[in-house]
Amino acid sequence: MLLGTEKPNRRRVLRGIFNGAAVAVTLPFLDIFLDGNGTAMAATGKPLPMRFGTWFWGLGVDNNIFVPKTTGADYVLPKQLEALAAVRQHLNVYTNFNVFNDGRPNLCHYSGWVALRCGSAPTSRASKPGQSLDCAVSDRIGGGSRFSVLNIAATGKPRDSMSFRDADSMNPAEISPLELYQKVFGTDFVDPNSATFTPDPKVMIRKSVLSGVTEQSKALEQTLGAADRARLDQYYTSVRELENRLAMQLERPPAAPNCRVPGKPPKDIPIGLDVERVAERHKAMVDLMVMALSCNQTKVFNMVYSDSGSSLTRNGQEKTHHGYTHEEAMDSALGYQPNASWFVGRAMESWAYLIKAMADTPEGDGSLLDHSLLYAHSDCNLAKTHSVAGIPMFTAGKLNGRVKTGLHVDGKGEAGTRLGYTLQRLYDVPVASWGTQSMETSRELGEILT
Amino acid sequence: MFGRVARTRDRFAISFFGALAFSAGVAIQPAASQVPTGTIGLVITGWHHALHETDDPKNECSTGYTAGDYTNAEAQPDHAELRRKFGHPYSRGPNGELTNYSPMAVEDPIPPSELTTRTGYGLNLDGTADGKATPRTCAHAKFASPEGVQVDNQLARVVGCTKGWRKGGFSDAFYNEEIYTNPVNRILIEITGVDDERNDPQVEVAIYKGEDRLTRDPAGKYIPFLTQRIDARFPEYSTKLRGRIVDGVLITDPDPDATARLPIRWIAKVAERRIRDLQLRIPLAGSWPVAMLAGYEDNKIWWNSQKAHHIAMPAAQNSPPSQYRALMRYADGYPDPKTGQCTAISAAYRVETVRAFIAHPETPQQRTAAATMVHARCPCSDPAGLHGASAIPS
Amino acid sequence: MMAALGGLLFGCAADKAKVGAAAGPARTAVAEPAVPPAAPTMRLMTQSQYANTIADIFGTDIVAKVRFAPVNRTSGLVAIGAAKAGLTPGVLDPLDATARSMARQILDTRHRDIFVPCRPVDAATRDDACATAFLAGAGRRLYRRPMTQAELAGAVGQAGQAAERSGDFYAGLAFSLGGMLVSPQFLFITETAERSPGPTGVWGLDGYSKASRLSFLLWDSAPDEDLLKTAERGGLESPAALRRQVSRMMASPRFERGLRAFFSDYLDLESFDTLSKDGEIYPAFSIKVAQEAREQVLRTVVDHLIVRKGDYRDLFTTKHTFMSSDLGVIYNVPVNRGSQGWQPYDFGADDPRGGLLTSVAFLAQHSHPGRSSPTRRGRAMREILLCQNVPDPPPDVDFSTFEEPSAKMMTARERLSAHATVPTCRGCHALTDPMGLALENFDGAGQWRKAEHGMSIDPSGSLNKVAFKDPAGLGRAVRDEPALRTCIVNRLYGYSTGRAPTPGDAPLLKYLQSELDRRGYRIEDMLGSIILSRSYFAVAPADRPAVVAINSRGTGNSHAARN
Repeated sequence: MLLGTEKPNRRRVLRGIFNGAAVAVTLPFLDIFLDGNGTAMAATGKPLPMRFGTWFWGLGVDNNIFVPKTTGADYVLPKQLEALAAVRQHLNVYTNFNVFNDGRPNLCHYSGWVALRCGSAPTSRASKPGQSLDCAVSDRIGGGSRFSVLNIAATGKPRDSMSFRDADSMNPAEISPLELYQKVFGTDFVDPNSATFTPDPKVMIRKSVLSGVTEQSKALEQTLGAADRARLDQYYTSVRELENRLAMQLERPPAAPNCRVPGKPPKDIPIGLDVERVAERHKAMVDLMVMALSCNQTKVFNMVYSDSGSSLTRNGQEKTHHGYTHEEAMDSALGYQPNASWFVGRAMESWAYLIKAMADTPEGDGSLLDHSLLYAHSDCNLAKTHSVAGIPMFTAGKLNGRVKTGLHVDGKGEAGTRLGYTLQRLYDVPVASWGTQSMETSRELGEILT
Repeated sequence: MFGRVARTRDRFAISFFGALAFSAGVAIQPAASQVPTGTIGLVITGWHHALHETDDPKNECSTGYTAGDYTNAEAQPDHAELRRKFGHPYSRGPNGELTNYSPMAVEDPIPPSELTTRTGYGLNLDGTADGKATPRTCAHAKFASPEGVQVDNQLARVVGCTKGWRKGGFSDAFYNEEIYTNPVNRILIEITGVDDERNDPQVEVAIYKGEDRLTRDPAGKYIPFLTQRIDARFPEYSTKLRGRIVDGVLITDPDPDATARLPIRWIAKVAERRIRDLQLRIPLAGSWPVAMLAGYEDNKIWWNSQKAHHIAMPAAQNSPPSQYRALMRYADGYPDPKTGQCTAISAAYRVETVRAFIAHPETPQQRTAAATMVHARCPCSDPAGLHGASAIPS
Repeated sequence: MMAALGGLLFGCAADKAKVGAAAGPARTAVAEPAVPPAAPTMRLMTQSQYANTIADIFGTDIVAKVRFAPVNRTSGLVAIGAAKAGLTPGVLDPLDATARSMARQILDTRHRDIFVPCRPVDAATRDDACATAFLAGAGRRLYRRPMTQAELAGAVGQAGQAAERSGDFYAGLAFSLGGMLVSPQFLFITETAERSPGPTGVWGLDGYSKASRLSFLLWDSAPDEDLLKTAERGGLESPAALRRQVSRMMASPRFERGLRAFFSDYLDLESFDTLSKDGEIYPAFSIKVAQEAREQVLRTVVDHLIVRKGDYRDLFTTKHTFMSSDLGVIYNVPVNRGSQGWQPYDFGADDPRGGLLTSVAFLAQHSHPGRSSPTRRGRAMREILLCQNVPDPPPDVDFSTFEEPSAKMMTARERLSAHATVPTCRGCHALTDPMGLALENFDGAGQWRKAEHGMSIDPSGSLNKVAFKDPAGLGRAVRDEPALRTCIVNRLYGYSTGRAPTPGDAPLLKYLQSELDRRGYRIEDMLGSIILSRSYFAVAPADRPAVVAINSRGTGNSHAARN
């Protein structure tokens, strides 16, 4: 059975499993694993796992219909936030936070998001001055799930990933619902709710093979320069993650009472950047991602809804979203560009979909969203002028009660890294400060903390 | 060992290296200047009975939709007994005859709905204004087209109240999807000798069977200017006509010798059409011309193509006994000299086409090249801007 | 074969120049400058190198289906980014799954007897002798050098343990092979420097590293057995033997893959996998059209450079290309080949099409989803074809000038003319737009049009100081532009070495260009001149001061290292 084409041979299989000791555990059902309050795992007393997600949309907002007039709770929802009405209790909106380039060029549609992901403005389009913060959070909380980070691009383009260790080490994005399904729920998936658990004997062997790969390539290191040695180290780190994942597969997965394994692979969605198609792809991938979280397959994810400098199209119109931002006249009566703004509205609908999908997924005493924090932002404020002052940001979720929601927070022109720093602290990432030069901060956003 | 395998692979390595060298000498050149006259290529993408129909069939038919085979079967007094004896609902004849093969073995208990409208589409095939009998035709009632022209389309009286043949009906929809999916139904129209697409006193028109696929855009619209090759295996399916272009409309000359034999695959059965006195009227503007195609369908051949589909009869809501009788009653062409019974029936079809390059197998360079020529003269003729002009500047 | 490579290398002339002899009759002798040795590279395999390598070693029926993570294009090439690319878990993950799947296929009952040169004594347990025979052979091809003793012992040990645990010798081999297929020795093409023997020994690539460099350049794949054996014998040290190998490799059908890989990288054809157009505006531009547009470019390149032995520059004016029937729809030409075939096609002399710039691939790739873009096309010509840098738009541009308050601006020329009035825009748009506007007769999907929004299109333009009136004129101007030649030499050099050329490389690149200017830019001359240049294999060990040494053939000049 170990080779695909052969029929199982019972004697061989039994002998293979841990040298003869077959393990087949039948278990009763799952809620017994939670304590009486549903807030912690009964066996360990550990709190329910924390999750972290990011969400990105390109080309900013229109301030005069986006920024609420008052701060704090109970603000009146401006027009561009209307799509979020049903989930507003779950989210905070952050306005008037800045990205400072400190004399570095404002690389259109690049500087803004890179700075909010890694704390510093890039020096060129090839530059990423640090790792993205999802990596830092994942290093802290990602253990115990199969994938340290899952990346998704609703654009269907593999380069649309915002997760990186450095400029040359991207975490590639999954670009289709089908591929995401196969990655997460394909052959290596172990259903945490399965009544029986039989460790796969192949897993042990694979783990040992991977250790061997590391050992046998150590000699290579001696011939390499420092930069290449660092790349090899990164390779070893990746191998270790694979090994850890295999180690987990040898143990019964922890209970995941709300894990609902998708019954069949989703249909694939053809490539294309039409808003409707992107929304459809986004929805399908959100549905899978929510299940991946519920089923403990990952704790950290990044979603790109539209690319930075969005090239999304609206069927039949010559201009892309990006084209509209620059070429459409400001409607003086409305005070914004109606076509460009339409695209932003559609982005907000997809953002609302993600929040709602997580809020509607029960977990423990609340919802999946209650145990998560989502961080969303764009690449600029008003795309017409590539302004990185006032880049809009959101968070959603209470992160096990650590974060207040329902608020509008005015950054008063301070560095946008304050939010990134705060959320790293919320996940106990050991950083004393985050960012460089004017973007450096060691001050948490106290108003959102409970 | 790996060396051995690799070397073996070398021999089989996919490469068009050799193929390129081999074929490099036979490149097609468009060479517009070599072709003195223009050509318009069309491929048929849709084929419907030319019916004047509204959403409510009662507007055109005496009693709405005609009752189908099954409904008539149930209404037969001996229905239960026949069913018990022969086991098939359409074994309606006294000896279990299937209605589509033996339509005269039984009469429908429910009178068929008859076309009552006087308005219809078609072409004037017999040349008369009143449909009186001529040596080549039987007396019949003509339709008046919405423009007031007296036209012949007796087949409309046979199928016009049958749900399956009306707009979006089962037979209509099924056949039109088969035109897309099955190259048997690939019918090409080539108009040559075109000096001016608006007005040209003499052009030649040819019909061929093609062999290639059609392509559609995501919205389901046919993509123009795909190359369609003539299927050289079936020269019998080609027909030649002459005609003229008047104000952008192609009109072919009446020609008693013009008989079109066309292949047809309809509801998974392959059959044939035979249309005599074929005439075409095609407004040429744009990339998706809709043609009127008319002529006399041979009764027997037409019925043969119908009767193979008894399985589809309930879906199409045909009832063969009435339909066959209607066919014989309304037939208006080619009277049998002995009996006087007309052996063919006037028919008109609304035929959707899309522009295409038509490739002739025998002289591909020259003939295919011709197709680019005329198109270069009609820039911006289609609203989608799909093809305003050819690659060749005019 | 050698006759076919008669033009390769003014090799003889270069040899003579080295020893100071007079060069060929038609040239003035200019000594080839040596360049300072660079550090050896460690390149992550590309997706096509990976697939080709597997196909060459194990045959095409072993399915190596995997999508590699995108690599940063660096200095215009993914090949250079690959020398810096890391392997994050997200990248390694699919490689691991594919490695296991391939190993299972290679050792399944259909294939094992082809690849395993022996039968185990007992197929239900380990057999180290037989495992050694298989793994050493596979490892040599996969690692592109003999495995070290430690590597082999480790792999055989893995196979043995896995065989014992699974009760299946072949399963054991599959596990061990799966490990090799995901190992850094396989996935990273790692160059090794060695010093030639003797007290005056100089640093250069070792024989196996040379073999890999040649093979990935010319075949986009790992070395074959012949090349490995030649390397093993030290057969790549002499220029004559090197030339023999290069000739052999260029005569192989695999050379076509090498050429395709280079042009895919150079012309940035990767994006065609996800290139889409607005379905309503360009309904005929399907996914199939996008893929065939890319294929058309590659077929044209291969035909022009290999079959016709044409000059690279003429790719921008050639009337020869290939058509599929779906592409025929976009080009509005007949294609007599049914739905799958390709047909050679020549544009007429008076046809505005001809050359890569008027290919649907170039036109559609450098456009918006719903309309053309003279600026994008101009920028692509500058950056991709001429290796020039067009700066980003300034972020604080006042866009009010470009707003379209009315429908008055029908054509792109009118819309873009506004940029000339804004000083911050004028500089860059003057670089891109006069080139791009010459292609405005082709819409965003690459279809011919005479007018935009009813207004006749003026396709005149200029490149540097050369004015032209139509796309054909643009093609000729690009063909004759000196930067085109500098750029292709630069990119080929960077592609083959995996590093961006440095100022230290400049004298050599200049020299190569002057040689090619005389001989013409045929592919074998371009590649041959680079491969047979004396410094091509010169490397110094990483992180050590560049020790003297320029070339491994003993004629280096000592001051070159300081140049």
